[in-house]
Amino acid sequence: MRIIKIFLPALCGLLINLTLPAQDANALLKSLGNNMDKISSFEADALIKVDVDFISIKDRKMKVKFKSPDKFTFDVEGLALLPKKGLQMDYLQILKAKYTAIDVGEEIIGKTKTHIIKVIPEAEDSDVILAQLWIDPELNRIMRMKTYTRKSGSYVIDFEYNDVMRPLPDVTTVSFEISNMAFPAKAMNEMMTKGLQMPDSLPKKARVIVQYSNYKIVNK
Amino acid sequence: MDPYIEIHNLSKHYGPIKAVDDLSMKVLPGDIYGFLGPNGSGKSTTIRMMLSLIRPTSGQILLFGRDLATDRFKTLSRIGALIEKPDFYNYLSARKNLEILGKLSDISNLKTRVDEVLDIVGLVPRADSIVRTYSLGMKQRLGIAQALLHHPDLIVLDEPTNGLDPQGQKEIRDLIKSLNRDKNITILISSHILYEIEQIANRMIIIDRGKSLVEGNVQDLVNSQDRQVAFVLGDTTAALKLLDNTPWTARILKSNDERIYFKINKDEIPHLNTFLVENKMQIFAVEPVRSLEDFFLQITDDDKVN
Amino acid sequence: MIKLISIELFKIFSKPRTYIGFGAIIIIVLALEFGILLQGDNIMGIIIANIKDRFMFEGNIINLYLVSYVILNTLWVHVPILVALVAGDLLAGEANAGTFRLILTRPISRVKLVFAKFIAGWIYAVMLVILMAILSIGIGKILFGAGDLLVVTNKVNVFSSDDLLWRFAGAYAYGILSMTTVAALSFMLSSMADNSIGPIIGTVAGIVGITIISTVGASLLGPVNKYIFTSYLPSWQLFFQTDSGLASLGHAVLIQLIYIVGFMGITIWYFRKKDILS
Repeated sequence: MRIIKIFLPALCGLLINLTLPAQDANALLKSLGNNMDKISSFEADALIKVDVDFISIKDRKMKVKFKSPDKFTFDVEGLALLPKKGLQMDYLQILKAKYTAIDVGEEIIGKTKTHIIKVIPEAEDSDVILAQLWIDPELNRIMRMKTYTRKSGSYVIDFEYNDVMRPLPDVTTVSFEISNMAFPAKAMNEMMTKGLQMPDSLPKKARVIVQYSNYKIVNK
Repeated sequence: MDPYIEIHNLSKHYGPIKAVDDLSMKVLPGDIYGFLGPNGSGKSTTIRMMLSLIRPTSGQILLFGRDLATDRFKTLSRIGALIEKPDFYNYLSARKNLEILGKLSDISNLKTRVDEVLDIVGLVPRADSIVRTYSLGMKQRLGIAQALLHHPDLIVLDEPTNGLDPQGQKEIRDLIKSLNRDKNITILISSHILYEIEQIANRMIIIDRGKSLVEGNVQDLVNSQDRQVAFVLGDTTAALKLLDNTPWTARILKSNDERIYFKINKDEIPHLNTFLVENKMQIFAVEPVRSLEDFFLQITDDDKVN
Repeated sequence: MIKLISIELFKIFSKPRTYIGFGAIIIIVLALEFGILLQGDNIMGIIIANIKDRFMFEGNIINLYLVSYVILNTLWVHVPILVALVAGDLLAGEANAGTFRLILTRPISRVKLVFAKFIAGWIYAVMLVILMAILSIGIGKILFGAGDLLVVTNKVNVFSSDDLLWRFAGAYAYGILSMTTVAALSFMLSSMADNSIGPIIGTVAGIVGITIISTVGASLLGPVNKYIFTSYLPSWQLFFQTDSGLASLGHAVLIQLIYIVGFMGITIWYFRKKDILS
């Protein structure tokens, strides 16, 4: 009886500790989604910098337009290379489908204390296998996202905010790895100069940094 | 006055083959100079060396008293030439061809001069036709026209009547004679047609296997030699019988029903004629037979024997 | 000299074969432009296949600059053939026609004649490249419009449209230099032949053959490769790379110039002493 009296509260506490974080995680994600749902549309100027070893392109100016619920258009002068993931609030796409969320802890990013939420999409045909979100619980904003996808590999998106009141980032940095073997000309060149060896195929780090400015937001 | 062409010990070797071998010759101002030799004797090679198309292996070529090797531009500006078959820019008209060649020779009043030379050679009606449409005779005349463009003092003609019909050959011969006579142009002409050389040349050289065999005045060379003469007789049988026991019999080459052919020199013809007439033989004609050709064949045969 | 050059230009432009070159350029450019118009998306898909799983492209990739860049690649083989067609005939054609007997018995210098003919042939080559440039850009502008240029070689390079004028000008100027080398080679072979077919085929076979050997046997040829002129025929691509400096371009230009001078030197030496037997 004494054993039950001691262990039962502990067991309850453990159960609460296990179930409460799941409830907190879902709540956090829901708050995040709600924060974004307030926005009917927005426009912003963007400056895109591509930082990849084997891509040479000057910074590009672009106009980003968003219309709720998920329509993005990009008006760019000339030609721009945009990361496939990271510019279109990908996390919102994940959150719109069924998923399982787990709070796996906290981390400080910059000066912000964030909750780390693992999100596992339940749909079998989902391109995203696993996503990890770092969320600022006070401002309901995403600070970082790490995603593993079937088709596009894995990538990390970091968000910086200058305006406390605005849920939209001022800087988005998309980081990923890309293989050097991608270019037949380079491979051929290396084989010619170094002889018949396999060319260097180690993946290289790549970053695309998008700086937003002149936001014009229309709320619902 | 210096000879227009003076060649001293000219040679051209292609490996072991001596195309021209120690040749010397002179062409004097006012000459129509015959340049004779069998095929492959070195005539064209010599002419090409004279015109700086081929480099001599050794020897010297003087044109108008100047060394061709050092004074090429000044000497060539006084020479017109037609070498072998007349080749032009077949896709252009005769007039255009002459204008291009005239520009290369820096001729003043070119258009007027082109019209003049076309008139001299009788090509004005076809001046603007594409050369591809020309007959060989017309091309030969055009060849002479381009040689005349820059008022040359000397014209070199290499086989100018090759491939022409007798009428065409006569026209070219007449043209050559008139150029020499009326325009005072010295002419060097190489030819296989020995009859025409005899007709028009005053001096000549015969070469064989690159070497000079004989050079000099045409008539002197021909007259110094025995020639073939045919007597056209009423009764050749009786004439042969008459001649049988005379020294003339050794001079008989051949005979047929109408003619007896003798090898005698020019001075002996009247003596033979008198002998036959005094012995009552009927003589209808005395005909020389290809005198220069005989001479040419004889001398080149002698060269082969030697 | 001007007179000699004008005579040679007149002769070149009086021959039908000259217009084959211009006609071929027009056909090549039109074929490539319309080919890209119809199949451009497929072609771009292949070119960017390796990065399109990570990146998306916003903007007009298929534009007049990309098309002009693609057409510049005909400087490998197509344009050299057309250059050789005329350059290879400049001296050998006269020998074949027998017209050397008319020209060289006149008081003109063989050296001057050689230079005049080469310069006339060079002018023709320049006109071919300029025609290619005008058609590429002109028709490209009508069919595709302007935009930035995406070039994938050993890197992905995206050049802004305001950064392209000088690059293309440089590329075409270098193209002219390359074709000058081809013309000089063909001209040299022409001086040694009595018929233009040999020089034309010899030039094309030489360029293609040496290119194949130097590409396939690169590791065998090793250091020699960087002195073979065919290695530098496509060096106009240096104008569309950001990681190669003036040194590479300077080296390419120098090699080409050395070959041009060498080929011309051999031509002059040979033609001066050549016996004209045709």
